[in-house]
Amino acid sequence: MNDRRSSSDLGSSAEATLAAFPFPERDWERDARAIEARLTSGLRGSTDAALLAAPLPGEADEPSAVSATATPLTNSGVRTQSLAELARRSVEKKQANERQMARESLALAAQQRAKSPSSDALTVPTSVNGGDAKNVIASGVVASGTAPASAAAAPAKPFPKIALVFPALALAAAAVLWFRQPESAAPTSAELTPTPSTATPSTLAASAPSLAQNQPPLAAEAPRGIDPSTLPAQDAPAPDSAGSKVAAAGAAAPSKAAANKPGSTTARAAAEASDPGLPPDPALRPADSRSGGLPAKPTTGAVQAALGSVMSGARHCVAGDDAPSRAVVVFGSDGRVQQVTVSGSAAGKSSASCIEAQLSRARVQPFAASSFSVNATVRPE
Amino acid sequence: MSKRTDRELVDAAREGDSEAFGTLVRRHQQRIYRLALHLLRDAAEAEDATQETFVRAYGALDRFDGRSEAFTWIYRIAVNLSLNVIRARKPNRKAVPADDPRLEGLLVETRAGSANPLGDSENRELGRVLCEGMDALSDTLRTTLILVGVDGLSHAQAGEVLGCPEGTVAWRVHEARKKLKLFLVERGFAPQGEEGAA
Repeated sequence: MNDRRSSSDLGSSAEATLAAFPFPERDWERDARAIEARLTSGLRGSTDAALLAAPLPGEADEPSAVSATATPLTNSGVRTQSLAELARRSVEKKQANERQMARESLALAAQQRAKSPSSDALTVPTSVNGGDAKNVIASGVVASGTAPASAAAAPAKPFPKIALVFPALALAAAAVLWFRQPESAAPTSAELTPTPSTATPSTLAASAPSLAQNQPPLAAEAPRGIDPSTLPAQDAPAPDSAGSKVAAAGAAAPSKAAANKPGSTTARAAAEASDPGLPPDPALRPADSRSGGLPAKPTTGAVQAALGSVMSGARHCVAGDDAPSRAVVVFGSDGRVQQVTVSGSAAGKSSASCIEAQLSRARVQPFAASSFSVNATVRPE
Repeated sequence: MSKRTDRELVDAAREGDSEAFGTLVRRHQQRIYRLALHLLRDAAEAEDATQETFVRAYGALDRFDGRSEAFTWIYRIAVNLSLNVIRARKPNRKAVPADDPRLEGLLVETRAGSANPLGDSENRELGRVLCEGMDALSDTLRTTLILVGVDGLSHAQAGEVLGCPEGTVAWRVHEARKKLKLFLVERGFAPQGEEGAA
Protein backbone atom coordinates (compact mmCIF):
# COMPACT_ATOMS: atom_id res chain seq x y z
CA MET A 1 0.00 0.00 0.00
CA ASN A 2 2.92 2.29 0.62
CA ASP A 3 4.08 1.49 -2.89
CA ARG A 4 0.71 2.52 -4.16
CA ARG A 5 0.86 5.83 -2.34
CA SER A 6 4.47 6.57 -3.13
CA SER A 7 3.90 5.90 -6.80
CA SER A 8 1.51 8.84 -6.93
CA ASP A 9 2.93 11.09 -4.23
CA LEU A 10 3.86 14.40 -5.79
CA GLY A 11 6.03 15.63 -2.94
CA SER A 12 5.23 18.11 -0.24
CA SER A 13 5.71 21.31 -2.29
CA ALA A 14 3.69 20.11 -5.25
CA GLU A 15 0.98 18.68 -3.00
CA ALA A 16 0.73 21.96 -1.11
CA THR A 17 0.54 23.95 -4.33
CA LEU A 18 -2.06 21.61 -5.76
CA ALA A 19 -4.23 21.65 -2.66
CA ALA A 20 -4.10 25.40 -2.20
CA PHE A 21 -4.08 26.67 -5.75
CA PRO A 22 -5.03 30.32 -5.34
CA PHE A 23 -7.22 32.19 -7.74
CA PRO A 24 -7.57 35.91 -8.34
CA GLU A 25 -9.96 37.73 -6.11
CA ARG A 26 -13.02 39.15 -7.77
CA ASP A 27 -15.94 41.31 -6.87
CA TRP A 28 -18.12 38.36 -5.96
CA GLU A 29 -21.10 40.47 -4.95
CA ARG A 30 -21.17 42.11 -8.36
CA ASP A 31 -20.95 38.69 -10.00
CA ALA A 32 -23.79 37.39 -7.85
CA ARG A 33 -25.99 40.35 -8.75
CA ALA A 34 -25.23 39.80 -12.40
CA ILE A 35 -26.43 36.22 -12.04
CA GLU A 36 -29.53 37.24 -10.13
CA ALA A 37 -30.38 39.74 -12.85
CA ARG A 38 -30.55 36.91 -15.33
CA LEU A 39 -32.89 34.79 -13.26
CA THR A 40 -36.42 35.07 -14.54
CA SER A 41 -39.38 32.83 -14.09
CA GLY A 42 -39.31 32.07 -17.80
CA LEU A 43 -36.05 30.22 -17.30
CA ARG A 44 -37.66 27.46 -15.29
CA GLY A 45 -37.61 24.20 -17.16
CA SER A 46 -35.48 25.57 -19.97
CA THR A 47 -32.26 23.75 -19.09
CA ASP A 48 -31.12 21.04 -21.43
CA ALA A 49 -31.17 17.61 -19.78
CA ALA A 50 -27.71 16.88 -21.18
CA LEU A 51 -26.25 19.34 -18.70
CA LEU A 52 -27.54 17.21 -15.86
CA ALA A 53 -26.08 13.98 -17.19
CA ALA A 54 -22.82 12.39 -16.09
CA PRO A 55 -20.21 14.50 -17.81
CA LEU A 56 -17.24 12.36 -18.74
CA PRO A 57 -16.59 8.97 -20.30
CA GLY A 58 -14.39 6.48 -18.49
CA GLU A 59 -10.72 6.17 -19.26
CA ALA A 60 -9.71 3.61 -21.88
CA ASP A 61 -7.67 1.60 -19.39
CA GLU A 62 -10.03 2.13 -16.49
CA PRO A 63 -10.61 -1.22 -14.83
CA SER A 64 -14.26 -2.15 -14.99
CA ALA A 65 -14.06 -3.86 -11.61
CA VAL A 66 -13.31 -0.52 -10.02
CA SER A 67 -16.49 0.89 -11.43
CA ALA A 68 -18.46 -2.11 -10.38
CA THR A 69 -17.26 -2.52 -6.83
CA ALA A 70 -16.84 1.11 -5.89
CA THR A 71 -14.54 0.35 -3.01
CA PRO A 72 -12.79 3.53 -2.00
CA LEU A 73 -9.21 3.89 -0.91
CA THR A 74 -8.52 4.83 2.64
CA ASN A 75 -5.91 7.37 3.55
CA SER A 76 -3.41 4.60 3.92
CA GLY A 77 -4.10 3.36 0.42
CA VAL A 78 -5.86 0.19 1.50
CA ARG A 79 -8.92 -0.68 -0.53
CA THR A 80 -11.79 -1.19 1.87
CA GLN A 81 -14.75 -3.52 1.47
CA SER A 82 -18.18 -2.91 2.81
CA LEU A 83 -19.56 -5.25 5.42
CA ALA A 84 -22.45 -6.03 3.11
CA GLU A 85 -20.05 -7.23 0.43
CA LEU A 86 -18.14 -9.37 2.91
CA ALA A 87 -21.35 -10.87 4.27
CA ARG A 88 -22.63 -11.64 0.78
CA ARG A 89 -19.42 -13.38 -0.19
CA SER A 90 -19.38 -15.36 3.02
CA VAL A 91 -22.93 -16.61 2.49
CA GLU A 92 -22.27 -17.51 -1.13
CA LYS A 93 -19.13 -19.42 -0.20
CA LYS A 94 -20.96 -21.26 2.55
CA GLN A 95 -23.78 -22.25 0.24
CA ALA A 96 -21.36 -23.52 -2.36
CA ASN A 97 -19.54 -25.59 0.24
CA GLU A 98 -22.75 -27.13 1.52
CA ARG A 99 -23.92 -28.06 -1.95
CA GLN A 100 -20.57 -29.57 -2.78
CA MET A 101 -20.54 -31.61 0.42
CA ALA A 102 -24.07 -32.85 -0.15
CA ARG A 103 -23.20 -33.96 -3.66
CA GLU A 104 -20.05 -35.69 -2.50
CA SER A 105 -21.88 -37.53 0.24
CA LEU A 106 -24.56 -38.65 -2.19
CA ALA A 107 -22.01 -39.88 -4.67
CA LEU A 108 -20.16 -41.66 -1.90
CA ALA A 109 -23.31 -43.30 -0.69
CA ALA A 110 -24.20 -44.43 -4.20
CA GLN A 111 -20.75 -45.82 -4.69
CA GLN A 112 -20.98 -47.61 -1.40
CA ARG A 113 -24.30 -49.11 -2.30
CA ALA A 114 -23.00 -50.34 -5.61
CA LYS A 115 -20.13 -52.07 -3.85
CA SER A 116 -22.29 -53.61 -1.14
CA PRO A 117 -22.99 -57.30 -1.86
CA SER A 118 -26.22 -57.33 0.12
CA SER A 119 -27.81 -54.44 -1.68
CA ASP A 120 -29.10 -56.54 -4.56
CA ALA A 121 -30.80 -58.98 -2.28
CA LEU A 122 -32.77 -56.38 -0.43
CA THR A 123 -36.14 -55.25 -1.60
CA VAL A 124 -36.78 -52.32 0.69
CA PRO A 125 -36.89 -49.41 -1.74
CA THR A 126 -35.87 -46.64 0.64
CA SER A 127 -33.43 -47.69 3.24
CA VAL A 128 -32.84 -46.39 6.70
CA ASN A 129 -29.52 -45.08 5.60
CA GLY A 130 -31.17 -43.71 2.55
CA GLY A 131 -33.25 -41.77 4.98
CA ASP A 132 -30.10 -40.78 6.73
CA ALA A 133 -28.70 -39.55 3.49
CA LYS A 134 -31.79 -37.50 3.04
CA ASN A 135 -31.38 -36.21 6.53
CA VAL A 136 -27.94 -35.06 5.71
CA ILE A 137 -28.96 -33.50 2.46
CA ALA A 138 -32.04 -31.77 3.65
CA SER A 139 -31.12 -30.81 7.15
CA GLY A 140 -27.61 -31.88 7.79
CA VAL A 141 -28.52 -33.89 10.89
CA VAL A 142 -27.64 -37.52 11.17
CA ALA A 143 -29.84 -39.89 13.09
CA SER A 144 -26.93 -41.97 14.18
CA GLY A 145 -28.90 -44.62 15.96
CA THR A 146 -31.16 -45.59 13.12
CA ALA A 147 -29.19 -48.43 11.57
CA PRO A 148 -26.52 -49.90 13.78
CA ALA A 149 -26.61 -53.28 12.09
CA SER A 150 -26.11 -51.92 8.61
CA ALA A 151 -23.27 -49.79 9.90
CA ALA A 152 -21.59 -52.89 11.16
CA ALA A 153 -22.08 -54.59 7.82
CA ALA A 154 -20.61 -51.73 5.81
CA PRO A 155 -17.06 -51.77 4.56
CA ALA A 156 -14.76 -49.70 6.71
CA LYS A 157 -13.03 -47.63 4.09
CA PRO A 158 -15.53 -44.82 3.32
CA PHE A 159 -16.45 -44.35 6.94
CA PRO A 160 -13.74 -41.91 7.90
CA LYS A 161 -14.89 -39.61 5.11
CA ILE A 162 -18.51 -39.93 6.06
CA ALA A 163 -17.65 -39.46 9.69
CA LEU A 164 -15.98 -36.19 8.77
CA VAL A 165 -18.56 -35.02 6.27
CA PHE A 166 -21.69 -35.68 8.29
CA PRO A 167 -20.76 -33.76 11.44
CA ALA A 168 -19.56 -30.88 9.27
CA LEU A 169 -22.87 -30.84 7.47
CA ALA A 170 -24.70 -31.04 10.75
CA LEU A 171 -22.80 -28.07 12.10
CA ALA A 172 -23.37 -26.07 8.94
CA ALA A 173 -27.06 -26.81 8.93
CA ALA A 174 -27.37 -25.95 12.60
CA ALA A 175 -25.71 -22.62 11.94
CA VAL A 176 -27.98 -21.98 8.98
CA LEU A 177 -31.04 -22.88 11.03
CA TRP A 178 -29.95 -20.59 13.78
CA PHE A 179 -29.48 -17.60 11.52
CA ARG A 180 -32.33 -18.16 9.10
CA GLN A 181 -35.16 -19.05 11.45
CA PRO A 182 -38.22 -17.30 10.00
CA GLU A 183 -40.33 -15.38 12.48
CA SER A 184 -43.66 -15.61 10.74
CA ALA A 185 -43.41 -19.36 10.23
CA ALA A 186 -42.12 -20.08 13.70
CA PRO A 187 -44.58 -22.85 14.63
CA THR A 188 -44.11 -24.58 11.31
CA SER A 189 -40.37 -24.31 11.39
CA ALA A 190 -40.38 -25.64 14.93
CA GLU A 191 -42.22 -28.66 13.65
CA LEU A 192 -39.80 -28.97 10.80
CA THR A 193 -36.73 -28.63 12.93
CA PRO A 194 -34.79 -31.82 12.56
CA THR A 195 -34.55 -34.16 15.48
CA PRO A 196 -31.21 -33.94 17.26
CA SER A 197 -28.60 -36.41 16.21
CA THR A 198 -28.91 -38.33 19.46
CA ALA A 199 -32.45 -39.37 18.62
CA THR A 200 -33.07 -43.08 18.62
CA PRO A 201 -35.72 -44.93 16.67
CA SER A 202 -37.75 -45.34 19.81
CA THR A 203 -37.75 -41.66 20.62
CA LEU A 204 -38.60 -40.89 17.06
CA ALA A 205 -41.48 -43.26 17.20
CA ALA A 206 -42.63 -41.75 20.46
CA SER A 207 -42.57 -38.28 19.04
CA ALA A 208 -44.43 -39.40 15.97
CA PRO A 209 -47.12 -41.76 17.11
CA SER A 210 -48.89 -41.70 13.78
CA LEU A 211 -45.76 -43.05 12.20
CA ALA A 212 -45.04 -45.56 14.88
CA GLN A 213 -48.35 -47.26 14.44
CA ASN A 214 -48.37 -50.35 12.22
CA GLN A 215 -44.68 -50.16 11.61
CA PRO A 216 -42.37 -53.12 11.95
CA PRO A 217 -39.05 -52.71 13.74
CA LEU A 218 -36.20 -51.26 11.80
CA ALA A 219 -34.79 -53.56 9.19
CA ALA A 220 -31.41 -54.51 10.44
CA GLU A 221 -30.33 -55.60 7.01
CA ALA A 222 -31.42 -52.45 5.30
CA PRO A 223 -29.10 -51.54 2.46
CA ARG A 224 -26.54 -48.89 3.07
CA GLY A 225 -26.46 -45.69 1.11
CA ILE A 226 -28.73 -44.49 -1.59
CA ASP A 227 -28.52 -44.49 -5.33
CA PRO A 228 -29.52 -41.07 -6.62
CA SER A 229 -30.43 -42.49 -10.00
CA THR A 230 -33.12 -44.61 -8.44
CA LEU A 231 -34.64 -41.92 -6.31
CA PRO A 232 -37.21 -40.45 -8.69
CA ALA A 233 -38.63 -43.90 -9.30
CA GLN A 234 -39.31 -44.24 -5.59
CA ASP A 235 -41.61 -41.31 -5.50
CA ALA A 236 -44.62 -43.54 -4.94
CA PRO A 237 -45.38 -44.26 -1.29
CA ALA A 238 -43.95 -47.49 0.03
CA PRO A 239 -46.20 -48.86 2.73
CA ASP A 240 -43.63 -51.25 4.09
CA SER A 241 -40.70 -48.87 4.12
CA ALA A 242 -40.58 -48.51 7.84
CA GLY A 243 -37.07 -47.29 7.87
CA SER A 244 -37.80 -44.54 5.47
CA LYS A 245 -40.74 -43.43 7.55
CA VAL A 246 -38.73 -43.24 10.72
CA ALA A 247 -35.91 -41.54 8.95
CA ALA A 248 -38.28 -39.06 7.41
CA ALA A 249 -39.76 -38.38 10.80
CA GLY A 250 -36.36 -37.85 12.27
CA ALA A 251 -35.24 -35.66 9.45
CA ALA A 252 -38.07 -33.50 8.39
CA ALA A 253 -41.23 -33.40 10.44
CA PRO A 254 -43.70 -35.50 12.28
CA SER A 255 -46.31 -33.53 10.44
CA LYS A 256 -49.24 -34.91 8.59
CA ALA A 257 -47.81 -34.28 5.18
CA ALA A 258 -44.63 -36.06 6.00
CA ALA A 259 -46.46 -38.86 7.69
CA ASN A 260 -48.66 -39.43 4.70
CA LYS A 261 -45.84 -39.61 2.19
CA PRO A 262 -42.67 -40.48 3.97
CA GLY A 263 -41.15 -42.30 1.06
CA SER A 264 -41.76 -39.48 -1.33
CA THR A 265 -40.39 -37.00 1.17
CA THR A 266 -37.14 -38.82 1.34
CA ALA A 267 -36.91 -39.36 -2.35
CA ARG A 268 -37.82 -35.82 -3.28
CA ALA A 269 -35.46 -34.21 -0.84
CA ALA A 270 -32.62 -36.39 -1.98
CA ALA A 271 -33.49 -35.77 -5.59
CA GLU A 272 -33.54 -32.05 -4.96
CA ALA A 273 -30.17 -32.25 -3.36
CA SER A 274 -28.78 -34.15 -6.32
CA ASP A 275 -30.48 -31.81 -8.77
CA PRO A 276 -30.62 -28.25 -7.52
CA GLY A 277 -32.68 -27.28 -10.54
CA LEU A 278 -35.79 -29.01 -9.22
CA PRO A 279 -38.40 -26.66 -7.80
CA PRO A 280 -38.52 -26.74 -4.02
CA ASP A 281 -41.59 -28.00 -2.25
CA PRO A 282 -41.92 -25.77 0.81
CA ALA A 283 -44.18 -28.27 2.57
CA LEU A 284 -41.60 -30.99 2.40
CA ARG A 285 -38.42 -29.20 3.29
CA PRO A 286 -37.15 -27.12 6.15
CA ALA A 287 -38.03 -23.48 5.82
CA ASP A 288 -34.42 -22.53 5.51
CA SER A 289 -33.20 -25.33 3.31
CA ARG A 290 -30.24 -24.12 1.31
CA SER A 291 -29.95 -26.99 -1.14
CA GLY A 292 -30.99 -25.01 -4.19
CA GLY A 293 -34.33 -23.74 -2.80
CA LEU A 294 -35.45 -20.36 -1.54
CA PRO A 295 -35.60 -19.31 2.09
CA ALA A 296 -39.04 -18.37 3.37
CA LYS A 297 -37.89 -14.80 3.86
CA PRO A 298 -34.63 -12.87 3.85
CA THR A 299 -32.50 -13.20 6.95
CA THR A 300 -32.13 -10.35 9.36
CA GLY A 301 -28.48 -10.13 8.51
CA ALA A 302 -29.17 -9.96 4.79
CA VAL A 303 -31.77 -7.24 5.26
CA GLN A 304 -29.47 -5.28 7.53
CA ALA A 305 -26.64 -5.62 5.06
CA ALA A 306 -28.85 -4.59 2.16
CA LEU A 307 -30.20 -1.55 3.95
CA GLY A 308 -26.81 -0.71 5.39
CA SER A 309 -25.33 -0.50 1.93
CA VAL A 310 -27.80 2.20 0.88
CA MET A 311 -28.31 3.93 4.21
CA SER A 312 -25.45 6.38 3.78
CA GLY A 313 -27.09 7.66 0.62
CA ALA A 314 -30.39 7.95 2.42
CA ARG A 315 -28.75 9.87 5.22
CA HIS A 316 -27.45 12.36 2.68
CA CYS A 317 -31.06 13.05 1.80
CA VAL A 318 -31.89 14.25 5.30
CA ALA A 319 -28.66 16.11 5.94
CA GLY A 320 -29.54 19.18 7.94
CA ASP A 321 -32.77 17.79 9.32
CA ASP A 322 -33.17 17.81 13.07
CA ALA A 323 -35.31 14.74 13.54
CA PRO A 324 -34.89 11.30 12.04
CA SER A 325 -37.23 9.97 9.38
CA ARG A 326 -38.71 6.53 9.15
CA ALA A 327 -39.27 4.33 6.18
CA VAL A 328 -41.12 1.09 5.63
CA VAL A 329 -39.31 -0.90 2.97
CA VAL A 330 -41.21 -3.70 1.26
CA PHE A 331 -39.13 -6.32 -0.54
CA GLY A 332 -40.67 -8.45 -3.24
CA SER A 333 -39.99 -12.15 -3.55
CA ASP A 334 -37.35 -11.42 -6.21
CA GLY A 335 -35.31 -9.58 -3.58
CA ARG A 336 -35.95 -6.14 -5.01
CA VAL A 337 -37.62 -3.32 -3.18
CA GLN A 338 -41.26 -3.01 -4.16
CA GLN A 339 -42.25 -0.02 -2.13
CA VAL A 340 -40.79 2.52 0.26
CA THR A 341 -43.04 4.61 2.47
CA VAL A 342 -41.40 7.53 4.23
CA SER A 343 -42.76 9.09 7.38
CA GLY A 344 -41.36 11.46 9.95
CA SER A 345 -39.62 14.74 9.32
CA ALA A 346 -38.86 14.05 5.64
CA ALA A 347 -42.45 13.14 4.77
CA GLY A 348 -43.91 15.40 2.14
CA LYS A 349 -40.60 17.00 1.29
CA SER A 350 -38.29 16.45 -1.64
CA SER A 351 -36.05 14.49 0.65
CA ALA A 352 -38.76 11.82 0.92
CA SER A 353 -38.39 10.97 -2.76
CA CYS A 354 -34.65 11.02 -2.29
CA ILE A 355 -34.91 8.52 0.55
CA GLU A 356 -37.23 6.36 -1.52
CA ALA A 357 -34.80 6.39 -4.40
CA GLN A 358 -31.88 5.49 -2.18
CA LEU A 359 -33.59 2.72 -0.26
CA SER A 360 -35.05 1.28 -3.45
CA ARG A 361 -31.53 0.31 -4.43
CA ALA A 362 -31.37 -2.26 -1.63
CA ARG A 363 -31.36 -5.89 -2.74
CA VAL A 364 -31.69 -9.13 -0.85
CA GLN A 365 -31.61 -12.68 -2.10
CA PRO A 366 -34.88 -13.97 -3.56
CA PHE A 367 -37.17 -15.62 -1.05
CA ALA A 368 -40.30 -17.72 -1.06
CA ALA A 369 -42.77 -15.38 0.63
CA SER A 370 -44.66 -12.93 -1.56
CA SER A 371 -43.24 -9.90 0.20
CA PHE A 372 -41.36 -8.89 3.28
CA SER A 373 -41.42 -5.48 4.94
CA VAL A 374 -38.97 -3.92 7.32
CA ASN A 375 -38.83 -0.63 9.18
CA ALA A 376 -35.80 1.58 8.79
CA THR A 377 -34.84 4.77 10.55
CA VAL A 378 -32.94 7.38 8.58
CA ARG A 379 -31.05 9.65 10.89
CA PRO A 380 -29.56 12.92 9.67
CA GLU A 381 -25.81 12.95 9.23
CA MET B 1 -31.89 31.92 12.99
CA SER B 2 -29.80 28.97 11.89
CA LYS B 3 -28.19 28.92 8.51
CA ARG B 4 -30.39 27.31 5.91
CA THR B 5 -29.09 24.20 4.22
CA ASP B 6 -28.61 23.96 0.48
CA ARG B 7 -31.58 21.66 0.27
CA GLU B 8 -33.80 24.12 2.06
CA LEU B 9 -32.60 26.89 -0.22
CA VAL B 10 -33.38 24.78 -3.27
CA ASP B 11 -36.82 23.96 -1.92
CA ALA B 12 -37.47 27.64 -1.25
CA ALA B 13 -36.20 28.67 -4.68
CA ARG B 14 -38.48 26.13 -6.28
CA GLU B 15 -41.38 27.83 -4.63
CA GLY B 16 -40.33 31.14 -6.12
CA ASP B 17 -38.04 32.53 -3.43
CA SER B 18 -35.40 34.21 -5.60
CA GLU B 19 -33.55 35.43 -2.54
CA ALA B 20 -32.96 31.84 -1.53
CA PHE B 21 -31.36 31.09 -4.86
CA GLY B 22 -29.25 34.24 -4.48
CA THR B 23 -27.97 32.86 -1.19
CA LEU B 24 -27.10 29.63 -2.96
CA VAL B 25 -25.21 31.61 -5.63
CA ARG B 26 -23.19 33.53 -3.08
CA ARG B 27 -22.42 30.37 -1.16
CA HIS B 28 -20.97 28.46 -4.09
CA GLN B 29 -19.92 30.89 -6.77
CA GLN B 30 -16.27 31.06 -5.72
CA ARG B 31 -15.82 27.31 -5.84
CA ILE B 32 -17.63 27.09 -9.14
CA TYR B 33 -15.47 29.85 -10.54
CA ARG B 34 -12.29 28.16 -9.37
CA LEU B 35 -13.41 24.88 -10.91
CA ALA B 36 -14.22 26.59 -14.21
CA LEU B 37 -10.96 28.50 -14.13
CA HIS B 38 -8.94 25.32 -13.77
CA LEU B 39 -10.93 23.52 -16.41
CA LEU B 40 -10.99 26.37 -18.93
CA ARG B 41 -7.75 28.20 -18.12
CA ASP B 42 -9.38 31.44 -19.15
CA ALA B 43 -10.72 34.01 -16.70
CA ALA B 44 -13.37 35.45 -19.00
CA GLU B 45 -14.64 32.03 -20.02
CA ALA B 46 -14.63 30.93 -16.39
CA GLU B 47 -16.72 33.96 -15.44
CA ASP B 48 -19.20 33.22 -18.21
CA ALA B 49 -19.32 29.56 -17.28
CA THR B 50 -19.95 30.40 -13.63
CA GLN B 51 -22.80 32.71 -14.50
CA GLU B 52 -24.24 30.25 -16.95
CA THR B 53 -23.98 27.43 -14.41
CA PHE B 54 -26.28 29.16 -11.95
CA VAL B 55 -28.68 30.31 -14.64
CA ARG B 56 -28.96 26.73 -15.95
CA ALA B 57 -29.27 25.37 -12.42
CA TYR B 58 -32.14 27.76 -11.80
CA GLY B 59 -33.74 26.57 -15.02
CA ALA B 60 -33.46 22.96 -13.88
CA LEU B 61 -34.57 23.41 -10.28
CA ASP B 62 -37.68 21.33 -10.84
CA ARG B 63 -35.54 18.43 -11.98
CA PHE B 64 -33.36 18.37 -8.89
CA ASP B 65 -34.51 15.11 -7.34
CA GLY B 66 -32.54 15.39 -4.14
CA ARG B 67 -30.54 12.23 -4.70
CA SER B 68 -27.33 14.18 -4.36
CA GLU B 69 -26.18 17.28 -2.59
CA ALA B 70 -27.28 20.50 -4.23
CA PHE B 71 -23.73 21.72 -4.64
CA THR B 72 -22.56 18.53 -6.36
CA TRP B 73 -25.55 18.88 -8.67
CA ILE B 74 -24.47 22.44 -9.50
CA TYR B 75 -20.88 21.23 -9.91
CA ARG B 76 -22.03 18.73 -12.49
CA ILE B 77 -23.67 21.48 -14.50
CA ALA B 78 -20.48 23.53 -14.26
CA VAL B 79 -18.34 20.62 -15.45
CA ASN B 80 -20.68 19.94 -18.37
CA LEU B 81 -20.72 23.58 -19.41
CA SER B 82 -16.94 23.86 -19.15
CA LEU B 83 -16.44 20.71 -21.19
CA ASN B 84 -18.81 22.07 -23.81
CA VAL B 85 -16.67 25.20 -24.05
CA ILE B 86 -13.50 23.13 -24.34
CA ARG B 87 -15.01 20.97 -27.07
CA ALA B 88 -16.10 24.04 -28.97
CA ARG B 89 -12.58 25.44 -28.97
CA LYS B 90 -10.15 24.96 -31.76
CA PRO B 91 -7.32 22.68 -30.66
CA ASN B 92 -4.80 25.48 -30.37
CA ARG B 93 -4.15 25.62 -26.66
CA LYS B 94 -1.46 23.14 -25.97
CA ALA B 95 0.98 25.31 -24.05
CA VAL B 96 0.10 27.23 -20.94
CA PRO B 97 -0.13 30.91 -21.91
CA ALA B 98 1.97 33.44 -20.06
CA ASP B 99 -1.13 35.12 -18.70
CA ASP B 100 -2.59 31.88 -17.41
CA PRO B 101 -5.07 33.03 -14.75
CA ARG B 102 -4.09 30.13 -12.52
CA LEU B 103 -0.51 31.40 -12.43
CA GLU B 104 -1.75 34.91 -11.90
CA GLY B 105 -3.35 33.78 -8.71
CA LEU B 106 -0.16 32.06 -7.66
CA LEU B 107 1.79 35.25 -8.36
CA VAL B 108 -0.50 37.32 -6.19
CA GLU B 109 -0.30 34.75 -3.45
CA THR B 110 3.50 34.59 -3.38
CA ARG B 111 3.89 38.35 -3.67
CA ALA B 112 1.95 38.85 -0.48
CA GLY B 113 4.57 37.02 1.59
CA SER B 114 7.78 37.70 -0.31
CA ALA B 115 10.27 36.96 2.44
CA ASN B 116 11.97 34.48 0.17
CA PRO B 117 12.06 35.73 -3.43
CA LEU B 118 13.98 32.66 -4.57
CA GLY B 119 11.41 30.38 -3.00
CA ASP B 120 8.63 32.40 -4.61
CA SER B 121 10.26 31.98 -7.95
CA GLU B 122 10.58 28.24 -7.45
CA ASN B 123 6.98 28.01 -6.34
CA ARG B 124 5.81 29.87 -9.40
CA GLU B 125 7.84 27.58 -11.60
CA LEU B 126 6.45 24.57 -9.79
CA GLY B 127 2.96 25.95 -10.23
CA ARG B 128 3.56 26.49 -13.93
CA VAL B 129 4.84 22.94 -14.42
CA LEU B 130 1.94 21.59 -12.37
CA CYS B 131 -0.47 23.43 -14.64
CA GLU B 132 1.28 22.05 -17.70
CA GLY B 133 1.17 18.57 -16.27
CA MET B 134 -2.52 18.85 -15.50
CA ASP B 135 -3.22 20.16 -18.97
CA ALA B 136 -1.46 17.13 -20.41
CA LEU B 137 -3.91 14.81 -18.71
CA SER B 138 -7.06 13.60 -20.39
CA ASP B 139 -10.24 15.54 -19.68
CA THR B 140 -11.46 12.73 -17.46
CA LEU B 141 -8.35 12.49 -15.32
CA ARG B 142 -7.85 16.26 -15.22
CA THR B 143 -11.42 16.97 -14.16
CA THR B 144 -11.32 14.31 -11.49
CA LEU B 145 -7.99 15.56 -10.16
CA ILE B 146 -9.24 19.15 -10.07
CA LEU B 147 -12.36 18.15 -8.19
CA VAL B 148 -10.50 16.07 -5.62
CA GLY B 149 -6.95 17.44 -5.52
CA VAL B 150 -7.58 21.14 -6.06
CA ASP B 151 -11.13 21.70 -4.95
CA GLY B 152 -11.00 19.26 -2.05
CA LEU B 153 -14.11 17.23 -2.79
CA SER B 154 -14.28 13.79 -1.23
CA HIS B 155 -14.28 10.77 -3.51
CA ALA B 156 -17.96 10.30 -2.82
CA GLN B 157 -18.78 13.88 -3.73
CA ALA B 158 -16.64 13.74 -6.86
CA GLY B 159 -18.40 10.49 -7.73
CA GLU B 160 -21.74 12.30 -7.47
CA VAL B 161 -20.51 15.07 -9.72
CA LEU B 162 -19.06 12.73 -12.32
CA GLY B 163 -21.70 10.02 -12.04
CA CYS B 164 -19.30 7.23 -11.22
CA PRO B 165 -18.50 5.12 -8.15
CA GLU B 166 -16.05 6.21 -5.51
CA GLY B 167 -13.67 3.45 -6.54
CA THR B 168 -13.49 4.86 -10.03
CA VAL B 169 -12.75 8.30 -8.65
CA ALA B 170 -9.99 6.82 -6.48
CA TRP B 171 -8.49 5.06 -9.48
CA ARG B 172 -8.61 8.17 -11.63
CA VAL B 173 -7.03 10.33 -8.94
CA HIS B 174 -4.28 7.78 -8.48
CA GLU B 175 -3.65 7.59 -12.23
CA ALA B 176 -3.67 11.36 -12.59
CA ARG B 177 -1.23 11.78 -9.73
CA LYS B 178 1.04 9.09 -11.13
CA LYS B 179 1.17 10.79 -14.50
CA LEU B 180 1.60 14.20 -12.92
CA LYS B 181 4.46 12.90 -10.81
CA LEU B 182 6.18 11.51 -13.87
CA PHE B 183 5.71 14.85 -15.61
CA LEU B 184 7.25 16.70 -12.66
CA VAL B 185 10.19 14.32 -12.39
CA GLU B 186 10.93 14.66 -16.11
CA ARG B 187 11.15 18.41 -15.58
CA GLY B 188 13.45 18.21 -12.60
CA PHE B 189 10.93 18.46 -9.78
CA ALA B 190 11.71 15.35 -7.77
CA PRO B 191 9.18 14.60 -5.06
CA GLN B 192 10.10 15.96 -1.66
CA GLY B 193 8.64 15.39 1.75
CA GLU B 194 8.73 11.80 2.89
CA GLU B 195 12.27 11.29 1.66
CA GLY B 196 13.27 14.62 3.19
CA ALA B 197 13.13 17.99 1.61
CA ALA B 198 16.09 19.13 -0.43
